[in-house]
Amino acid sequence: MEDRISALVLRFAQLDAAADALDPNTDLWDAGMSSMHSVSVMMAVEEEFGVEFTEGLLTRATFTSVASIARAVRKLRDSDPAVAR
Amino acid sequence: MQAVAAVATEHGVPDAAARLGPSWGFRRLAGHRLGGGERWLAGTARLTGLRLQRFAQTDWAELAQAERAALADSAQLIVAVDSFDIESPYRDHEHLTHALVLHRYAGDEVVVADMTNRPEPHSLPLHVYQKTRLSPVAGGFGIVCRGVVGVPPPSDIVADRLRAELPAHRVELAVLEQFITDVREGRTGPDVDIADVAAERLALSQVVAPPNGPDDRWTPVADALADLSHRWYIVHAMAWAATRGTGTLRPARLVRMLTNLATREADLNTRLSAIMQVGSPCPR
Repeated sequence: MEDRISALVLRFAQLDAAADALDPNTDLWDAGMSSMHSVSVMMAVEEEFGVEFTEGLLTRATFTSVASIARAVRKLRDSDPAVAR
Repeated sequence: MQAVAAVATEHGVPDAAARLGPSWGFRRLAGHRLGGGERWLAGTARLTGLRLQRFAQTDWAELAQAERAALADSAQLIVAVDSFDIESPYRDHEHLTHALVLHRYAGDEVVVADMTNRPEPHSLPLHVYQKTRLSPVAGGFGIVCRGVVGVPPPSDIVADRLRAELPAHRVELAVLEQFITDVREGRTGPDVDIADVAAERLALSQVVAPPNGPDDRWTPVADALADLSHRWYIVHAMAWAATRGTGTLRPARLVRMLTNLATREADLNTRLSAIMQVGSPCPR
């Protein structure tokens, strides 16, 4: 899952430095992701994994890193086992 | 609003961004746009000591003459343009109202500053300026800024003006409800533009935050307003991404998010009204 999220982040987050891969714990805000682009990442992740981020997850912390996004996606899947895996 | 803050800063207004407004409300704008209450200009004038005056002119000769005259009179001008026409993320693909600070006319160019995209003064060809000033989203609108800055005690004025905003906001929640109904029934959106709403709440959060806020009870209110602004920006950004095909925003979800925001707006109005009535710094 982290690899797929990482690919989406690299595509949509418009980070300061171009990279082929991301450490899962890289702070995306420190790396230059703007609020606007974090929403693009969120929507791409929703499409990719067939989930919908709930109000409670629409926080800065959720989108701090690939790892934190992955945790949120797992949480959403656990709360709704019917979503695509 | 950023452009007004920049001009106010040039006039020597300290913490200009924290003196925009207060304004809190809703109104419908052209197309699929939802705007804020937009009563912030009068409040900004009170909080900064500047004289701020709106103008609009759709005849180019008269518009250019009025702008030249104001500049010659040492006023500063904030002018509406279309993001489609200028150096911005929206250039050549989206029509959005945007503000520039107009410094001067210089032959077949004008010198402007864009506090969002390019803050340093730079030239714009006159024919581009004319086109963008008269575009439908700009409508020849502008703000003339004059005067010498005083240092009014802001907290009393903030309280006074915010007290006036609360009932207006309460009434205008019906505008938001109608907007949500229109989205639900397919008359509006999903390509909604609610950036002005988000910006107004962000400015309001700065106005009521310390040191402007009359006392400590306002700090959590400022935080709540900043959170509200953040949530409006998220919805705006989602609609923006969906419009460009980089994401999907189902109308049902948009309605759900807007409904959640409406609840938060109403709750915050109730909370602020309680603060203003109990132990208000300016009791009436």
